[in-house]
Amino acid sequence: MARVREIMTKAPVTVNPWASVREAARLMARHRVGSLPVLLDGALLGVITSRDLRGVHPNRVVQDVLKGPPLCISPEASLLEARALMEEKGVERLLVVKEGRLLGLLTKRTLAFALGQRFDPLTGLPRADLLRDGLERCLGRGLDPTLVFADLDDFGKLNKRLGHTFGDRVLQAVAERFTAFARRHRGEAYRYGGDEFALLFPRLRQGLLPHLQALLDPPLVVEGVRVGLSLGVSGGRRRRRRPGNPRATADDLLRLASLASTLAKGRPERIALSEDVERASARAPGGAPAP
Amino acid sequence: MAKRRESPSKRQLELRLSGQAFEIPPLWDVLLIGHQAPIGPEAAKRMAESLAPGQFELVRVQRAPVEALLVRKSLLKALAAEPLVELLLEELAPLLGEDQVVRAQVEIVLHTGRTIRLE
Repeated sequence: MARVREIMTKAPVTVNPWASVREAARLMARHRVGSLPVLLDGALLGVITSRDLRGVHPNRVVQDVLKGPPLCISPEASLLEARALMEEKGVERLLVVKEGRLLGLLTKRTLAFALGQRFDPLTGLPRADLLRDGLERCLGRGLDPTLVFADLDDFGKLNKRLGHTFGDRVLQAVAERFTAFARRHRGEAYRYGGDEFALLFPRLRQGLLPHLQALLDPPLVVEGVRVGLSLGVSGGRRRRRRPGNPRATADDLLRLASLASTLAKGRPERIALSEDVERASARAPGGAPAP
Repeated sequence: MAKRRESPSKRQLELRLSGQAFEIPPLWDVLLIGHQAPIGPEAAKRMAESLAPGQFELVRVQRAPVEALLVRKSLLKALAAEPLVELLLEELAPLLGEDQVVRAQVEIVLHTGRTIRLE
């Protein structure tokens, strides 16, 4: 998942708090920017925007326009964290600061553009790198997430038989069902890639498992064609054990959920758990994970 | 055609000079700063601080048309900020425009009296 430092505007134009409003407006116009961080002897005091200058006497000093303490974010924060902070505080820009030093500026527009590349245009769902980020963040916070991987049955054949435009409508229908389910159970739906979807819930799986059947029943029917789904579940068993390496643990959970969804294809109930994968791999010759 | 004769120009430049002692600081006891004034509260405070260090205190208010008052600290020893500001706003704010800065004099006179019982 991309970090704030990768998309921020580096070395933004800054202004002194004792500069006049006229000078600040001139700087904004010359550099075609809508905001200026305010620095005094290297110390960050805040940020002023073109809106702040509107209607203010040009002889006034920037310090008189400055409102409240600056809203900062670490360069290592993820784009989703930046978006959550902007939404929570209702701001359009964040100052990127490390150890009190200004490194850059992140605007809502830059963030929206970067995030737009991480959402699937067909279904509107976030893509795999946002899933990984969400998973790692849950694990890093000591939460015990439950991951549900979903695979469409014979999607390739369906595409060949009825065309890719029909296939796209199927993917949209699946996305709608998953999004509604995720919303009901305080989770998030993702399009992992191709015909694979994922659902992430930041909690133990006990409360969730009894409801999973609702993803399969009633069967999904698109334009009279029945679409089969298989679900694989991992996570939700750790009971608040914070992993030493959230990235490796996330890898593990993704692998197990994905393998479980493949295993579920051969089952009448169409749901398999990560334990089933572990059991199947233990039985397999050489200990290799069995599909 | 006959030429018109022009008289020489009699333009004059008159200079008038006047002088007045510049007061430091150039504000009296209170400075009332309008919301749209060319000098804002922070700049006014900085000015007062550089000309009369430690003598003035900034009191922010959110009442049209005044944004803030710069008050001589010695006044605040005699009177709490709240009633002083209230009085100043009541009396002076109606005369003030949002784009103005007005300096005001505040004189505090203490009247006292005692009765001594004679034997």
